[in-house]
Amino acid sequence: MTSTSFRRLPAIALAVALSALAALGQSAPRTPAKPPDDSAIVAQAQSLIDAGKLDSAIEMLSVASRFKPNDVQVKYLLGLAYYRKADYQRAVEHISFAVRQTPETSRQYREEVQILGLSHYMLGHIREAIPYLEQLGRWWPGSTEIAYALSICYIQTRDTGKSRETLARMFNLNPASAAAYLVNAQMLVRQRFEELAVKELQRALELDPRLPQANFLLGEMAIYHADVERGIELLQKEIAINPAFGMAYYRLGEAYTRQLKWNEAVGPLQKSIWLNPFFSGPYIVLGKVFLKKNDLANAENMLRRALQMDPGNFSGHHLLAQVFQQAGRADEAKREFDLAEKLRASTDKEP
Amino acid sequence: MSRLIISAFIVGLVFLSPHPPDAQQQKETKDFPVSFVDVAERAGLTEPVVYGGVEKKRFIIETNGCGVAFFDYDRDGWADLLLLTGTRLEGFPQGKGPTNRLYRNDRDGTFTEVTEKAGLRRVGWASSVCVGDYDSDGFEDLFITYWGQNVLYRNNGNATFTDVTEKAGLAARGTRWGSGCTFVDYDRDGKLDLFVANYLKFDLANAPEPGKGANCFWKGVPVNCGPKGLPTDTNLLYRNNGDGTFRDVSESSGVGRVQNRYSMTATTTDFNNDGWTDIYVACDSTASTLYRNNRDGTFTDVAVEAGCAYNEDGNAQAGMGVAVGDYNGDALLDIFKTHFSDDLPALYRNSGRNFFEDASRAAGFEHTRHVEWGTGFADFDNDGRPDIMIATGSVYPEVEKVFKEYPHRGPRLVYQNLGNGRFQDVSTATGPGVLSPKSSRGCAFGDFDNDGDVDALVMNMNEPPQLLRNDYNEGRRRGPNNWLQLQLTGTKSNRTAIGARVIIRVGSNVQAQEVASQSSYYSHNDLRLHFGMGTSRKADQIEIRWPSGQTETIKDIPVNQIVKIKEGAVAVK
Repeated sequence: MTSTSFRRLPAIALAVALSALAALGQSAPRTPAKPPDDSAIVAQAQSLIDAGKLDSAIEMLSVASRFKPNDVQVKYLLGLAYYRKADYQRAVEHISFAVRQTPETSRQYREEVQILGLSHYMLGHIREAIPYLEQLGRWWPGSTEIAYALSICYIQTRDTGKSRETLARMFNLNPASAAAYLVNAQMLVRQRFEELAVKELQRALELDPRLPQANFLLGEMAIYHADVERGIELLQKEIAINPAFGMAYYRLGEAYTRQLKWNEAVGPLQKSIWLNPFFSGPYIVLGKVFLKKNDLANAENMLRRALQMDPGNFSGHHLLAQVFQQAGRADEAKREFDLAEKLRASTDKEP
Repeated sequence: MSRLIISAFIVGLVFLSPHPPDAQQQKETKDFPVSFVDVAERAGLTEPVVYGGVEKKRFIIETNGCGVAFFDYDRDGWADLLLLTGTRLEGFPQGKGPTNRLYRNDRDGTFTEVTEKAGLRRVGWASSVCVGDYDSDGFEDLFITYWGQNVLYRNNGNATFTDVTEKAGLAARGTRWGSGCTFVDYDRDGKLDLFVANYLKFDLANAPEPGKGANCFWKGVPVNCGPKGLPTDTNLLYRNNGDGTFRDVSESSGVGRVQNRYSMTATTTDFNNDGWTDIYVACDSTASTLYRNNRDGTFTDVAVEAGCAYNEDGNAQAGMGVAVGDYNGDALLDIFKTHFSDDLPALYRNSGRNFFEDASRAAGFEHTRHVEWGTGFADFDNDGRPDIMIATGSVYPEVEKVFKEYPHRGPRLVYQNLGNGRFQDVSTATGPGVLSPKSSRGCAFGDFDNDGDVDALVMNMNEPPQLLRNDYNEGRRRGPNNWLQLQLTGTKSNRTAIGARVIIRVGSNVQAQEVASQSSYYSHNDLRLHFGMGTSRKADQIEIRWPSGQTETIKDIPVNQIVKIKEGAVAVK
């Protein structure tokens, strides 16, 4: 049995968020923090942190902390160093102490709130993260990274109203508009809150029955919950509104494969490719279709094309291995199975 | 949290297909003449199986539940029952803890609890049971896995058991979480060896609380953490020395070298028909494992290339329960594996070319909201085509407060084999015993009342079990289809005949089964192999391939009887 992982900010987005916030922090009112008691140690530790020598900084600060366990600057720098090491638990411990004693008008206070908000977020402490992220949002209302993190938190706590408002600000939409409901629904689906997404989409379509992508998302979810006929119906509705939307044809083709209607699947998958030849998904599904029809030559062709543009796709390699297996090409099958395993293992390691 | 109180009728609508059945489906559903009645209470099975918190599960140790067994411990020809149990985090006063329970079949539809007398009282987080006569004295022994110390119980032959774990060399070092197990004669020396799976490394003292980590949420609801994020463990193989002791050969055999798996139910099957028993392990959230017997004392994991590690797209699933059977009547043994919610069960069809093909959708299975556990191929209507039953139940009782679409308690699902490679959900037509909502885990299949149809024993979390009596044949009423049960005893092969394959031919129809020590979820089925014979009056040919390698053929066996077959001897009634 399994539980789904909490969807975190990807590491790269976090790095962007940090640098963006650091830049934003520069513009905060510059009320100096209270002068440190042991300024030499603090200054040296700060230099070490700035130079990326985090372990050295932590070692030095830990010694200082033993002599001065309530020194705010020491606590702050320890928290900062641990944060940069991605040890969010320890970052929270130290910064939680420091933030209570740092003047709220200082730049350091804002950094501390930022560290607490993002650390709690990365730890999956959603409810603890929200007040800090909300505060950051008030200070920097234009920050899309903060808005994104906050919207995810609202979604995780099932507060769809607040997530919609936050996303609407991020995307410059009227929060009561059909588009705002659609964007909120998309994010809900990404976070696996399909049941809540359905409600948002239904409201979106009430506001605008010809809203592109709404029927598509509803169709995807219907298929996911095994109501394939309904899913096909919704995808066809989407295509009627949005005839150049390649993804709709892709999902339609995939839906037909769920019904084992291999011949019916070919047309939509081909159209998906003609509309967008640079997405590997329809090639992979077509490869599977040809495999099931025992047309091994075309199956291999499609899968190779998919893997040329998407070489890290383990599912594609797994299917290609099956093609070779059916064709009696045992060595090639083993090679593809092994490669699929390696790629899958590296995917599992990703946060 | 108050329980949902729903009538069985509404439960049927909530749990089952999103579409009302169409006319053709209704016709096919009506043609499944099987009704299951829960007779647990009148049979005397009234004690709940305690397993962790009731409305909330803090840790994963409370969620997996345990198995059950039909097994004839006193060799009187009537299947007795073994119900494993767990405990609670807060523990119990000395002497008051819940225990595994052994029930002797009184042969009149009732059972008597004989746990204390049998010496099987034990408190702990039990997982699975596997059965086999490891000392070849003619009485079936038990191995029960635990989070903690696994236990080998030797059947003394006088209705008592003795814990011989230490003496047998099976005492564990440290705390491991034993999951599936199976007795298996992997080296064909006539003695049953022992395979033990381990789920993961679990440190209760340092386990994270619900919501305190990335793997501790489910759709935003704080839930018990894992298994992802918790360290995996490896499996064990013990070779039977023939003197009551075992030797750990996990490393030398290669079994212990398979890593990064959350191993659950273990079963045996000779998937490549080379006469040497292989071992299949359903694994949770990781690739499942197929240990191919290399015939030299070693095993190689070939699940990926054999097509039974993942689904057809190469994605890992949450494998819990497993059944082995010949669903399409081609004499090749297929595998059916159960999974987590929003996934579909896996039906791996044996191609006969050393690999399986994913036939799940082709057979009519689809995504379901239920978490699925115990399962079995069993011919409930005796038409010669094995059907399927699945026990369901959520692992997150907290979730249904927020998402009523994911109820904590679910039905048993029954699928009728239509004979064309497809199955039809007939759950609504098989009686209230099947539909009453439970959070189930292990289930076992067997004929406890010896009336020629297959019954089911189901473990329910923190509730009494269900004993689902199949009323296809009940009292004086007999269904039109006939049956045959075979009870095998090895002589050159291991006495329990684990690994023996039987192929029955009736005209152009063929059915195959193997004797197994464990299957379903952590459970053990009645060792008598049950075959539905349709309207035939005899089996034209019964072929037995014994684990020793010897093959015997018997012809023209009349139906509607239990046939005892001893290796090397003529069949006797």
